[in-house]
Amino acid sequence: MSPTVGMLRAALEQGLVYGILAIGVYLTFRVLDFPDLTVDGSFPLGGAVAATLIVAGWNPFLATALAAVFGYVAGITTGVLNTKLRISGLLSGILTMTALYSINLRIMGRSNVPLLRQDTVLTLIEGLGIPEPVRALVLFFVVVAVFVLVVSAFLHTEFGLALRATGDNERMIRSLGVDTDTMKIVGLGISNALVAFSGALVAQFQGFTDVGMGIGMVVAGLASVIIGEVVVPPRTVVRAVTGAVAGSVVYRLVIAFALRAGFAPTDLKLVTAAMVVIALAAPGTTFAPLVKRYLGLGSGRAAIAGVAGSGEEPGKRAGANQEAR
Amino acid sequence: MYMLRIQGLNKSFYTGSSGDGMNGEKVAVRGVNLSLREGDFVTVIGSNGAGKSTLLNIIAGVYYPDSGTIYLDGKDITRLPEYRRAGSIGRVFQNPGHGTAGSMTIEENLAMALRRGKPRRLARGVTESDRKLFRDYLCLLDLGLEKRLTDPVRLLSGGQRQALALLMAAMTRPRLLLLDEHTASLDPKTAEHILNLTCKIVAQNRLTAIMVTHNLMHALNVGSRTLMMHEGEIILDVSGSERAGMTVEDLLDKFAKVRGERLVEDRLLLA
Repeated sequence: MSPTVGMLRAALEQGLVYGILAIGVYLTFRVLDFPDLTVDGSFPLGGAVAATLIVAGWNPFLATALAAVFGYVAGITTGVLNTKLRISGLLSGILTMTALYSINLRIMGRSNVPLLRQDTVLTLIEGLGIPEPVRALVLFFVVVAVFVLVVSAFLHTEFGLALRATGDNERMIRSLGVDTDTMKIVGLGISNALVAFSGALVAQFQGFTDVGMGIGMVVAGLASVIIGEVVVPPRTVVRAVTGAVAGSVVYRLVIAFALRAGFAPTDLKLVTAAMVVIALAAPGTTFAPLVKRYLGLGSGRAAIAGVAGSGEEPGKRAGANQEAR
Repeated sequence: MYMLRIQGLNKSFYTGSSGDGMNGEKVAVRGVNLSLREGDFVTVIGSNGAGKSTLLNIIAGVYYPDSGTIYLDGKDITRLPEYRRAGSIGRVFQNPGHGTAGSMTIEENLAMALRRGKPRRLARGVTESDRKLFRDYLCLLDLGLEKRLTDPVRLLSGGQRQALALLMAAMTRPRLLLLDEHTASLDPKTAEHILNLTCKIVAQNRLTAIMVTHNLMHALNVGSRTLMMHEGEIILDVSGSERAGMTVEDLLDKFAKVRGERLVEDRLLLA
Protein backbone atom coordinates (compact mmCIF):
# COMPACT_ATOMS: atom_id res chain seq x y z
CA MET A 1 0.00 0.00 0.00
CA SER A 2 2.48 2.60 -1.10
CA PRO A 3 1.22 6.10 -1.66
CA THR A 4 1.19 7.23 -5.26
CA VAL A 5 2.28 10.66 -6.35
CA GLY A 6 -1.24 11.44 -7.47
CA MET A 7 -2.66 10.53 -4.10
CA LEU A 8 -0.13 12.65 -2.25
CA ARG A 9 -0.80 15.58 -4.54
CA ALA A 10 -4.54 15.30 -4.06
CA ALA A 11 -4.13 15.17 -0.30
CA LEU A 12 -1.85 18.20 -0.38
CA GLU A 13 -4.27 20.18 -2.56
CA GLN A 14 -7.18 19.38 -0.30
CA GLY A 15 -5.14 19.95 2.83
CA LEU A 16 -4.24 23.43 1.67
CA VAL A 17 -7.68 24.46 0.44
CA TYR A 18 -9.33 23.12 3.59
CA GLY A 19 -6.47 24.69 5.54
CA ILE A 20 -8.23 28.04 5.14
CA LEU A 21 -11.20 26.51 6.94
CA ALA A 22 -8.85 25.18 9.60
CA ILE A 23 -7.53 28.71 10.22
CA GLY A 24 -11.13 29.83 10.69
CA VAL A 25 -11.83 27.03 13.14
CA TYR A 26 -8.60 27.88 14.97
CA LEU A 27 -9.84 31.46 15.40
CA THR A 28 -13.04 30.41 17.14
CA PHE A 29 -12.11 27.22 19.00
CA ARG A 30 -8.67 28.31 20.13
CA VAL A 31 -8.36 32.09 19.99
CA LEU A 32 -11.90 32.97 21.10
CA ASP A 33 -12.46 29.75 23.06
CA PHE A 34 -15.85 29.57 21.34
CA PRO A 35 -17.11 26.20 20.03
CA ASP A 36 -18.62 27.52 16.81
CA LEU A 37 -20.80 25.11 14.85
CA THR A 38 -21.80 27.74 12.28
CA VAL A 39 -19.01 26.27 10.12
CA ASP A 40 -21.16 23.37 8.90
CA GLY A 41 -23.48 25.96 7.36
CA SER A 42 -21.07 28.71 6.34
CA PHE A 43 -18.84 26.30 4.38
CA PRO A 44 -21.60 25.28 1.92
CA LEU A 45 -22.80 28.92 2.03
CA GLY A 46 -19.48 29.93 0.51
CA GLY A 47 -19.85 27.24 -2.15
CA ALA A 48 -23.45 28.20 -2.87
CA VAL A 49 -22.74 31.91 -3.24
CA ALA A 50 -19.65 31.42 -5.41
CA ALA A 51 -21.23 28.77 -7.65
CA THR A 52 -24.47 30.65 -8.13
CA LEU A 53 -22.68 33.88 -9.02
CA ILE A 54 -20.26 32.12 -11.35
CA VAL A 55 -23.11 30.40 -13.19
CA ALA A 56 -24.77 33.82 -13.45
CA GLY A 57 -21.69 35.06 -15.22
CA TRP A 58 -19.82 36.85 -12.45
CA ASN A 59 -16.06 37.02 -12.27
CA PRO A 60 -14.95 34.00 -10.17
CA PHE A 61 -12.56 36.11 -8.08
CA LEU A 62 -15.35 38.52 -7.24
CA ALA A 63 -17.72 35.62 -6.57
CA THR A 64 -15.20 34.07 -4.16
CA ALA A 65 -14.71 37.35 -2.35
CA LEU A 66 -18.47 37.81 -2.01
CA ALA A 67 -18.75 34.28 -0.63
CA ALA A 68 -16.42 35.39 2.16
CA VAL A 69 -18.61 38.42 2.85
CA PHE A 70 -21.65 36.14 3.18
CA GLY A 71 -19.66 33.93 5.55
CA TYR A 72 -18.81 36.99 7.60
CA VAL A 73 -22.51 37.82 7.94
CA ALA A 74 -23.26 34.22 8.99
CA GLY A 75 -20.59 34.44 11.70
CA ILE A 76 -21.89 37.78 12.91
CA THR A 77 -25.36 36.26 13.20
CA THR A 78 -24.07 33.58 15.55
CA GLY A 79 -22.16 36.22 17.51
CA VAL A 80 -25.24 38.41 17.95
CA LEU A 81 -27.36 35.42 19.01
CA ASN A 82 -24.76 34.57 21.63
CA THR A 83 -23.80 37.99 22.98
CA LYS A 84 -26.94 40.10 22.54
CA LEU A 85 -29.67 37.48 22.91
CA ARG A 86 -27.69 35.49 25.50
CA ILE A 87 -28.13 32.15 23.73
CA SER A 88 -25.35 29.69 24.54
CA GLY A 89 -22.45 29.58 22.12
CA LEU A 90 -23.12 26.03 21.00
CA LEU A 91 -26.82 26.61 20.41
CA SER A 92 -26.19 29.91 18.60
CA GLY A 93 -23.99 28.10 16.11
CA ILE A 94 -26.50 25.28 15.68
CA LEU A 95 -29.32 27.76 15.05
CA THR A 96 -27.37 29.66 12.39
CA MET A 97 -26.19 26.43 10.81
CA THR A 98 -29.75 25.10 10.61
CA ALA A 99 -31.07 28.35 9.17
CA LEU A 100 -28.25 28.35 6.63
CA TYR A 101 -29.36 24.99 5.25
CA SER A 102 -32.56 26.60 3.99
CA ILE A 103 -30.75 29.75 2.93
CA ASN A 104 -28.17 27.77 0.95
CA LEU A 105 -30.95 25.93 -0.87
CA ARG A 106 -32.64 29.26 -1.61
CA ILE A 107 -29.40 30.67 -3.00
CA MET A 108 -28.70 27.63 -5.17
CA GLY A 109 -32.29 26.98 -6.14
CA ARG A 110 -31.61 23.23 -5.94
CA SER A 111 -29.40 20.96 -3.90
CA ASN A 112 -26.52 20.73 -6.37
CA VAL A 113 -25.00 23.25 -8.78
CA PRO A 114 -22.42 21.93 -11.27
CA LEU A 115 -19.63 24.22 -12.48
CA LEU A 116 -18.68 22.23 -15.56
CA ARG A 117 -17.42 24.37 -18.43
CA GLN A 118 -17.67 27.45 -16.26
CA ASP A 119 -14.80 29.82 -15.67
CA THR A 120 -13.42 29.40 -12.15
CA VAL A 121 -10.44 30.88 -10.34
CA LEU A 122 -8.60 27.76 -11.49
CA THR A 123 -9.33 28.24 -15.19
CA LEU A 124 -8.66 31.98 -14.99
CA ILE A 125 -5.05 31.43 -13.89
CA GLU A 126 -4.31 29.11 -16.81
CA GLY A 127 -2.59 31.99 -18.57
CA LEU A 128 0.02 32.34 -15.83
CA GLY A 129 2.02 29.45 -17.23
CA ILE A 130 1.83 27.14 -14.22
CA PRO A 131 1.85 23.54 -15.54
CA GLU A 132 -1.51 21.82 -15.14
CA PRO A 133 -0.56 19.06 -12.69
CA VAL A 134 0.47 21.52 -9.98
CA ARG A 135 -1.69 24.50 -10.90
CA ALA A 136 -4.24 24.04 -8.13
CA LEU A 137 -1.46 23.19 -5.71
CA VAL A 138 0.42 26.40 -6.45
CA LEU A 139 -2.73 28.52 -6.29
CA PHE A 140 -3.87 27.04 -2.97
CA PHE A 141 -0.38 27.27 -1.51
CA VAL A 142 -0.12 30.97 -2.36
CA VAL A 143 -3.61 31.71 -1.06
CA VAL A 144 -3.05 29.81 2.20
CA ALA A 145 0.35 31.42 2.70
CA VAL A 146 -1.21 34.85 2.32
CA PHE A 147 -3.92 33.97 4.85
CA VAL A 148 -1.38 32.60 7.35
CA LEU A 149 0.60 35.82 7.11
CA VAL A 150 -2.40 38.14 7.23
CA VAL A 151 -4.16 36.33 10.10
CA SER A 152 -0.92 36.12 12.11
CA ALA A 153 -0.25 39.81 11.59
CA PHE A 154 -3.86 40.62 12.46
CA LEU A 155 -3.58 38.72 15.74
CA HIS A 156 -0.62 40.94 16.66
CA THR A 157 -2.46 44.22 16.09
CA GLU A 158 -4.09 46.12 18.94
CA PHE A 159 -7.42 44.67 17.81
CA GLY A 160 -5.93 41.20 17.51
CA LEU A 161 -4.50 41.34 21.03
CA ALA A 162 -7.92 42.33 22.38
CA LEU A 163 -9.50 39.45 20.42
CA ARG A 164 -7.04 36.94 21.89
CA ALA A 165 -7.52 38.34 25.37
CA THR A 166 -11.29 37.96 24.97
CA GLY A 167 -10.77 34.22 24.57
CA ASP A 168 -8.14 34.05 27.30
CA ASN A 169 -9.48 36.31 30.04
CA GLU A 170 -12.70 38.11 29.28
CA ARG A 171 -12.96 39.82 32.64
CA MET A 172 -9.49 41.30 32.36
CA ILE A 173 -9.83 42.69 28.86
CA ARG A 174 -13.22 44.18 29.71
CA SER A 175 -11.62 45.90 32.71
CA LEU A 176 -9.21 47.44 30.19
CA GLY A 177 -12.07 49.00 28.26
CA VAL A 178 -12.76 46.48 25.50
CA ASP A 179 -16.32 45.60 24.50
CA THR A 180 -15.97 41.83 24.48
CA ASP A 181 -19.34 41.35 22.75
CA THR A 182 -17.99 43.20 19.71
CA MET A 183 -14.79 41.15 19.83
CA LYS A 184 -16.73 37.88 19.76
CA ILE A 185 -19.04 39.06 16.99
CA VAL A 186 -16.20 40.27 14.78
CA GLY A 187 -14.07 37.21 15.58
CA LEU A 188 -16.89 34.87 14.58
CA GLY A 189 -17.43 36.94 11.45
CA ILE A 190 -13.79 36.70 10.37
CA SER A 191 -13.67 32.99 11.16
CA ASN A 192 -16.73 32.22 9.06
CA ALA A 193 -15.54 34.48 6.26
CA LEU A 194 -12.46 32.25 6.02
CA VAL A 195 -14.64 29.14 6.14
CA ALA A 196 -16.93 30.41 3.37
CA PHE A 197 -13.91 31.44 1.30
CA SER A 198 -12.63 27.90 1.69
CA GLY A 199 -16.04 26.57 0.64
CA ALA A 200 -16.03 28.78 -2.46
CA LEU A 201 -12.60 27.50 -3.52
CA VAL A 202 -13.53 23.88 -2.83
CA ALA A 203 -16.67 24.21 -4.96
CA GLN A 204 -14.61 25.53 -7.89
CA PHE A 205 -11.91 22.92 -7.35
CA GLN A 206 -14.28 19.93 -7.32
CA GLY A 207 -16.47 21.40 -10.09
CA PHE A 208 -19.76 21.57 -8.21
CA THR A 209 -21.31 22.69 -4.98
CA ASP A 210 -23.65 20.60 -2.90
CA VAL A 211 -25.91 21.66 -0.07
CA GLY A 212 -24.64 18.73 2.00
CA MET A 213 -20.95 19.45 1.65
CA GLY A 214 -20.75 21.18 5.02
CA ILE A 215 -21.66 18.15 7.08
CA GLY A 216 -18.85 17.34 9.50
CA MET A 217 -16.75 20.37 8.57
CA VAL A 218 -16.49 21.59 12.17
CA VAL A 219 -15.08 18.27 13.25
CA ALA A 220 -12.76 18.12 10.25
CA GLY A 221 -11.50 21.61 11.08
CA LEU A 222 -11.10 20.72 14.73
CA ALA A 223 -9.22 17.55 13.76
CA SER A 224 -6.89 19.70 11.65
CA VAL A 225 -6.29 22.15 14.48
CA ILE A 226 -5.59 19.40 17.01
CA ILE A 227 -3.33 17.43 14.66
CA GLY A 228 -1.59 20.70 13.86
CA GLU A 229 -0.81 21.25 17.52
CA VAL A 230 0.95 17.90 17.59
CA VAL A 231 2.82 18.49 14.33
CA VAL A 232 3.73 22.13 15.08
CA PRO A 233 3.63 22.85 18.85
CA PRO A 234 1.87 26.22 19.06
CA ARG A 235 4.41 28.22 21.03
CA THR A 236 3.65 31.38 19.06
CA VAL A 237 0.65 32.65 17.16
CA VAL A 238 2.40 32.25 13.80
CA ARG A 239 3.19 28.64 14.65
CA ALA A 240 -0.38 28.01 15.74
CA VAL A 241 -1.85 29.39 12.51
CA THR A 242 0.71 27.52 10.40
CA GLY A 243 0.00 24.42 12.45
CA ALA A 244 -3.71 24.56 11.61
CA VAL A 245 -2.81 24.37 7.91
CA ALA A 246 -0.18 21.69 8.47
CA GLY A 247 -2.73 19.75 10.50
CA SER A 248 -5.20 20.05 7.66
CA VAL A 249 -2.68 18.54 5.24
CA VAL A 250 -1.89 15.67 7.59
CA TYR A 251 -5.60 15.12 8.15
CA ARG A 252 -6.22 14.80 4.40
CA LEU A 253 -3.33 12.37 4.14
CA VAL A 254 -4.83 10.23 6.87
CA ILE A 255 -8.17 10.33 5.06
CA ALA A 256 -6.46 9.31 1.80
CA PHE A 257 -4.83 6.36 3.54
CA ALA A 258 -8.14 5.42 5.12
CA LEU A 259 -9.72 5.30 1.66
CA ARG A 260 -6.88 3.14 0.40
CA ALA A 261 -7.27 0.85 3.36
CA GLY A 262 -10.76 0.06 2.14
CA PHE A 263 -13.02 2.49 4.00
CA ALA A 264 -15.94 3.70 1.93
CA PRO A 265 -16.11 7.49 1.38
CA THR A 266 -19.26 7.47 3.48
CA ASP A 267 -17.28 6.04 6.40
CA LEU A 268 -14.97 9.05 6.50
CA LYS A 269 -17.02 11.10 8.98
CA LEU A 270 -16.77 8.19 11.38
CA VAL A 271 -13.03 7.96 10.77
CA THR A 272 -12.71 11.70 11.40
CA ALA A 273 -14.70 11.63 14.61
CA ALA A 274 -12.66 8.66 15.83
CA MET A 275 -9.47 10.54 14.94
CA VAL A 276 -10.50 13.53 17.04
CA VAL A 277 -11.41 11.31 19.97
CA ILE A 278 -8.11 9.43 19.75
CA ALA A 279 -6.12 12.66 19.44
CA LEU A 280 -7.87 14.06 22.48
CA ALA A 281 -7.74 11.01 24.67
CA ALA A 282 -4.56 9.21 23.60
CA PRO A 283 -2.39 8.34 26.59
CA GLY A 284 0.69 10.46 26.95
CA THR A 285 -0.86 13.52 25.36
CA THR A 286 -1.65 16.60 27.35
CA PHE A 287 -5.28 16.17 26.33
CA ALA A 288 -5.99 12.88 28.06
CA PRO A 289 -6.21 13.98 31.69
CA LEU A 290 -8.12 17.10 30.72
CA VAL A 291 -10.69 15.25 28.67
CA LYS A 292 -11.23 12.80 31.48
CA ARG A 293 -11.64 15.62 33.93
CA TYR A 294 -14.12 17.50 31.81
CA LEU A 295 -16.08 14.40 30.95
CA GLY A 296 -16.07 13.63 34.65
CA LEU A 297 -17.71 16.96 35.32
CA GLY A 298 -20.62 15.72 33.24
CA SER A 299 -21.39 19.04 31.60
CA GLY A 300 -21.61 19.10 27.83
CA ARG A 301 -20.53 22.71 27.62
CA ALA A 302 -17.54 22.13 29.84
CA ALA A 303 -16.55 19.06 27.88
CA ILE A 304 -16.52 20.96 24.64
CA ALA A 305 -14.88 24.00 26.15
CA GLY A 306 -12.29 21.65 27.54
CA VAL A 307 -11.68 20.22 24.13
CA ALA A 308 -11.40 23.68 22.72
CA GLY A 309 -9.01 24.98 25.30
CA SER A 310 -6.98 21.95 26.20
CA GLY A 311 -4.08 22.10 23.81
CA GLU A 312 -2.59 25.47 24.34
CA GLU A 313 -2.88 26.03 28.00
CA PRO A 314 -3.77 23.31 30.44
CA GLY A 315 -2.90 25.57 33.37
CA LYS A 316 -5.41 28.21 32.46
CA ARG A 317 -8.28 25.78 32.15
CA ALA A 318 -7.37 24.03 35.33
CA GLY A 319 -7.25 27.35 37.13
CA ALA A 320 -10.58 28.49 35.77
CA ASN A 321 -12.01 25.20 36.82
CA GLN A 322 -10.89 25.50 40.39
CA GLU A 323 -12.48 28.88 40.75
CA ALA A 324 -15.75 27.57 39.47
CA ARG A 325 -15.95 25.28 42.47
CA MET B 1 -15.45 68.92 44.80
CA TYR B 2 -15.37 65.15 45.22
CA MET B 3 -13.88 62.95 42.53
CA LEU B 4 -16.02 59.94 43.43
CA ARG B 5 -19.45 60.43 44.96
CA ILE B 6 -21.77 57.55 45.76
CA GLN B 7 -25.29 58.23 46.99
CA GLY B 8 -27.86 55.85 48.44
CA LEU B 9 -26.45 52.74 46.81
CA ASN B 10 -28.47 49.52 47.16
CA LYS B 11 -27.90 46.15 45.59
CA SER B 12 -29.51 42.78 46.20
CA PHE B 13 -28.91 39.49 44.52
CA TYR B 14 -31.68 37.07 43.78
CA THR B 15 -30.69 33.46 43.89
CA GLY B 16 -34.13 32.25 42.86
CA SER B 17 -36.34 30.13 45.05
CA SER B 18 -34.11 28.21 47.38
CA GLY B 19 -36.76 25.70 48.39
CA ASP B 20 -36.37 26.41 52.08
CA GLY B 21 -39.09 29.01 52.30
CA MET B 22 -36.69 31.90 51.73
CA ASN B 23 -37.23 33.99 48.65
CA GLY B 24 -33.51 33.81 47.86
CA GLU B 25 -32.84 37.52 48.19
CA LYS B 26 -29.48 38.57 49.55
CA VAL B 27 -28.84 42.22 50.29
CA ALA B 28 -25.23 42.87 49.33
CA VAL B 29 -25.03 46.65 49.60
CA ARG B 30 -27.46 48.71 51.69
CA GLY B 31 -27.76 52.48 51.54
CA VAL B 32 -24.10 53.21 50.98
CA ASN B 33 -22.99 56.84 50.78
CA LEU B 34 -19.34 57.49 50.09
CA SER B 35 -17.34 60.44 48.81
CA LEU B 36 -13.68 60.41 47.88
CA ARG B 37 -11.44 63.39 47.29
CA GLU B 38 -8.67 63.34 44.74
CA GLY B 39 -5.68 61.51 46.20
CA ASP B 40 -7.63 59.64 48.88
CA PHE B 41 -6.35 56.15 49.54
CA VAL B 42 -9.17 54.28 51.27
CA THR B 43 -8.87 50.84 52.82
CA VAL B 44 -12.01 48.73 53.31
CA ILE B 45 -12.41 45.93 55.83
CA GLY B 46 -15.30 43.71 56.83
CA SER B 47 -16.17 40.06 57.16
CA ASN B 48 -17.08 37.82 54.26
CA GLY B 49 -20.34 38.86 52.65
CA ALA B 50 -20.11 42.39 54.06
CA GLY B 51 -20.48 43.81 50.55
CA LYS B 52 -16.94 45.05 49.99
CA SER B 53 -16.36 43.31 46.68
CA THR B 54 -19.89 44.08 45.52
CA LEU B 55 -19.28 47.75 46.20
CA LEU B 56 -16.10 47.70 44.10
CA ASN B 57 -17.87 45.76 41.35
CA ILE B 58 -20.68 48.32 41.25
CA ILE B 59 -18.16 51.17 41.06
CA ALA B 60 -16.39 49.32 38.22
CA GLY B 61 -19.67 48.66 36.41
CA VAL B 62 -19.70 44.87 36.64
CA TYR B 63 -23.13 45.17 38.28
CA TYR B 64 -25.61 47.99 38.13
CA PRO B 65 -27.09 49.00 41.47
CA ASP B 66 -30.82 48.53 42.23
CA SER B 67 -30.91 52.16 43.29
CA GLY B 68 -28.51 54.98 44.02
CA THR B 69 -26.13 57.06 41.96
CA ILE B 70 -22.40 57.08 41.26
CA TYR B 71 -20.63 60.20 40.08
CA LEU B 72 -17.06 60.10 38.85
CA ASP B 73 -15.58 63.58 38.38
CA GLY B 74 -19.11 64.96 38.55
CA LYS B 75 -20.38 62.73 35.77
CA ASP B 76 -23.16 60.23 36.45
CA ILE B 77 -21.70 56.83 35.55
CA THR B 78 -24.31 54.69 37.31
CA ARG B 79 -25.53 53.02 34.11
CA LEU B 80 -22.38 53.29 32.02
CA PRO B 81 -21.25 49.84 30.75
CA GLU B 82 -18.16 48.46 32.43
CA TYR B 83 -15.98 48.68 29.33
CA ARG B 84 -16.88 52.34 28.83
CA ARG B 85 -15.80 53.43 32.29
CA ALA B 86 -12.68 51.27 32.27
CA GLY B 87 -10.66 54.13 30.84
CA SER B 88 -10.96 55.91 34.18
CA ILE B 89 -10.89 52.91 36.51
CA GLY B 90 -8.00 50.49 36.96
CA ARG B 91 -8.57 47.23 38.81
CA VAL B 92 -6.57 44.46 40.41
CA PHE B 93 -8.37 41.26 41.38
CA GLN B 94 -7.72 38.82 44.19
CA ASN B 95 -6.71 36.02 41.86
CA PRO B 96 -3.49 36.91 39.99
CA GLY B 97 -4.82 34.98 37.01
CA HIS B 98 -7.77 37.33 36.66
CA GLY B 99 -5.76 40.46 35.94
CA THR B 100 -3.57 39.08 33.18
CA ALA B 101 -3.95 36.93 30.07
CA GLY B 102 -1.87 33.79 30.66
CA SER B 103 -1.48 32.65 27.07
CA MET B 104 -0.16 36.05 26.00
CA THR B 105 3.30 37.50 26.55
CA ILE B 106 4.27 40.06 29.18
CA GLU B 107 4.69 42.75 26.55
CA GLU B 108 1.34 41.92 24.95
CA ASN B 109 -0.40 42.17 28.31
CA LEU B 110 1.24 45.53 28.99
CA ALA B 111 0.40 46.76 25.49
CA MET B 112 -3.27 45.99 26.08
CA ALA B 113 -3.14 47.92 29.34
CA LEU B 114 -1.43 50.84 27.64
CA ARG B 115 -4.49 51.14 25.37
CA ARG B 116 -6.84 51.23 28.36
CA GLY B 117 -10.12 52.86 27.40
CA LYS B 118 -8.94 53.66 23.88
CA PRO B 119 -10.20 52.12 20.64
CA ARG B 120 -8.30 49.05 19.45
CA ARG B 121 -6.87 49.81 16.04
CA LEU B 122 -5.35 47.64 13.35
CA ALA B 123 -1.96 49.11 14.22
CA ARG B 124 0.86 46.92 15.48
CA GLY B 125 0.04 45.89 19.03
CA VAL B 126 3.54 46.16 20.51
CA THR B 127 5.95 48.72 19.08
CA GLU B 128 9.65 49.17 19.76
CA SER B 129 9.02 52.35 21.75
CA ASP B 130 6.41 50.44 23.79
CA ARG B 131 9.06 47.87 24.67
CA LYS B 132 11.41 50.53 25.94
CA LEU B 133 8.65 51.98 28.09
CA PHE B 134 7.69 48.52 29.40
CA ARG B 135 11.29 47.75 30.41
CA ASP B 136 11.41 50.97 32.40
CA TYR B 137 8.13 50.19 34.14
CA LEU B 138 9.08 46.57 34.83
CA CYS B 139 12.36 47.68 36.38
CA LEU B 140 10.29 49.45 39.04
CA LEU B 141 8.87 46.08 40.10
CA ASP B 142 12.38 44.78 40.80
CA LEU B 143 11.45 41.23 39.75
CA GLY B 144 13.67 40.89 36.68
CA LEU B 145 10.63 40.83 34.39
CA GLU B 146 12.17 43.49 32.13
CA LYS B 147 14.32 40.71 30.65
CA ARG B 148 11.35 38.45 29.97
CA LEU B 149 9.13 40.62 27.75
CA THR B 150 8.28 37.80 25.34
CA ASP B 151 7.59 35.14 27.97
CA PRO B 152 3.97 34.00 28.22
CA VAL B 153 2.48 35.27 31.46
CA ARG B 154 1.38 31.80 32.54
CA LEU B 155 5.06 31.02 33.21
CA LEU B 156 5.19 33.67 35.96
CA SER B 157 4.65 32.99 39.66
CA GLY B 158 1.53 34.27 41.39
CA GLY B 159 3.41 37.19 42.89
CA GLN B 160 5.00 38.14 39.59
CA ARG B 161 1.64 37.92 37.88
CA GLN B 162 0.02 40.10 40.51
CA ALA B 163 2.82 42.67 40.26
CA LEU B 164 2.24 42.73 36.51
CA ALA B 165 -1.52 43.09 37.03
CA LEU B 166 -0.89 45.99 39.38
CA LEU B 167 1.35 47.68 36.85
CA MET B 168 -1.26 47.13 34.15
CA ALA B 169 -3.98 48.62 36.33
CA ALA B 170 -1.95 51.71 37.22
CA MET B 171 0.30 52.46 34.25
CA THR B 172 -2.10 54.80 32.47
CA ARG B 173 -2.78 56.63 35.76
CA PRO B 174 -6.51 55.95 35.91
CA ARG B 175 -8.70 58.34 37.90
CA LEU B 176 -9.52 55.54 40.31
CA LEU B 177 -7.66 52.38 41.28
CA LEU B 178 -9.72 49.52 42.75
CA LEU B 179 -7.82 46.80 44.61
CA ASP B 180 -9.97 43.84 45.61
CA GLU B 181 -7.99 41.86 48.21
CA HIS B 182 -5.19 41.82 45.73
CA THR B 183 -2.66 40.41 48.20
CA ALA B 184 -4.95 37.82 49.81
CA SER B 185 -3.98 34.84 47.67
CA LEU B 186 -0.22 35.42 47.97
CA ASP B 187 2.22 34.08 50.55
CA PRO B 188 2.99 36.61 53.34
CA LYS B 189 6.36 37.70 51.97
CA THR B 190 5.07 38.20 48.44
CA ALA B 191 2.00 39.94 49.83
CA GLU B 192 4.22 42.45 51.63
CA HIS B 193 6.17 43.07 48.43
CA ILE B 194 3.01 43.66 46.40
CA LEU B 195 1.62 45.92 49.12
CA ASN B 196 4.83 47.98 49.17
CA LEU B 197 4.69 48.24 45.39
CA THR B 198 1.08 49.33 45.63
CA CYS B 199 1.94 52.12 48.09
CA LYS B 200 4.85 53.20 45.93
CA ILE B 201 2.86 53.28 42.70
CA VAL B 202 -0.12 55.03 44.30
CA ALA B 203 2.11 57.65 45.92
CA GLN B 204 4.29 58.29 42.87
CA ASN B 205 1.31 58.72 40.57
CA ARG B 206 -0.86 60.41 43.22
CA LEU B 207 -3.65 57.95 42.45
CA THR B 208 -7.01 57.81 44.17
CA ALA B 209 -7.48 54.26 45.37
CA ILE B 210 -9.82 51.92 47.22
CA MET B 211 -8.24 48.80 48.66
CA VAL B 212 -10.28 45.95 50.13
CA THR B 213 -8.26 43.88 52.56
CA HIS B 214 -8.69 41.20 55.21
CA ASN B 215 -5.57 42.35 57.02
CA LEU B 216 -6.53 44.83 59.73
CA MET B 217 -2.96 46.01 60.14
CA HIS B 218 -2.70 46.83 56.43
CA ALA B 219 -6.07 48.56 56.69
CA LEU B 220 -4.71 50.97 59.28
CA ASN B 221 -1.12 51.35 58.11
CA VAL B 222 -1.81 51.80 54.40
CA GLY B 223 -3.65 54.73 52.92
CA SER B 224 -5.33 57.73 54.50
CA ARG B 225 -8.80 56.51 55.45
CA THR B 226 -10.41 53.29 56.60
CA LEU B 227 -13.95 52.00 56.12
CA MET B 228 -15.54 49.06 57.86
CA MET B 229 -18.47 47.34 56.18
CA HIS B 230 -20.99 45.01 57.75
CA GLU B 231 -24.03 43.45 56.10
CA GLY B 232 -23.84 45.83 53.18
CA GLU B 233 -23.47 49.02 55.21
CA ILE B 234 -20.51 51.23 55.98
CA ILE B 235 -20.43 51.13 59.78
CA LEU B 236 -17.13 52.91 60.36
CA ASP B 237 -15.35 55.64 58.45
CA VAL B 238 -12.20 57.00 60.05
CA SER B 239 -9.41 59.23 58.83
CA GLY B 240 -6.97 61.83 60.13
CA SER B 241 -6.05 61.88 63.80
CA GLU B 242 -8.87 59.55 64.84
CA ARG B 243 -7.46 56.90 62.51
CA ALA B 244 -3.86 57.63 63.48
CA GLY B 245 -4.70 56.81 67.08
CA MET B 246 -6.43 53.55 66.24
CA THR B 247 -5.05 50.09 66.82
CA VAL B 248 -6.04 46.73 65.45
CA GLU B 249 -7.63 46.02 68.84
CA ASP B 250 -9.80 49.11 68.51
CA LEU B 251 -11.01 47.84 65.15
CA LEU B 252 -11.76 44.43 66.57
CA ASP B 253 -13.65 46.05 69.47
CA LYS B 254 -15.71 48.15 67.09
CA PHE B 255 -16.44 45.12 65.04
CA ALA B 256 -17.47 42.99 68.01
CA LYS B 257 -19.67 45.81 69.25
CA VAL B 258 -21.55 46.11 65.96
CA ARG B 259 -22.11 42.43 65.78
CA GLY B 260 -23.28 42.39 69.39
CA GLU B 261 -25.79 45.13 68.77
CA ARG B 262 -27.13 43.28 65.78
CA LEU B 263 -27.61 40.18 67.88
CA VAL B 264 -29.54 42.18 70.46
CA GLU B 265 -31.73 43.66 67.74
CA ASP B 266 -32.40 40.25 66.32
CA ARG B 267 -33.42 39.01 69.76
CA LEU B 268 -35.78 41.93 70.19
CA LEU B 269 -37.36 41.14 66.84
CA LEU B 270 -37.82 37.55 67.76
CA ALA B 271 -39.21 38.30 71.21
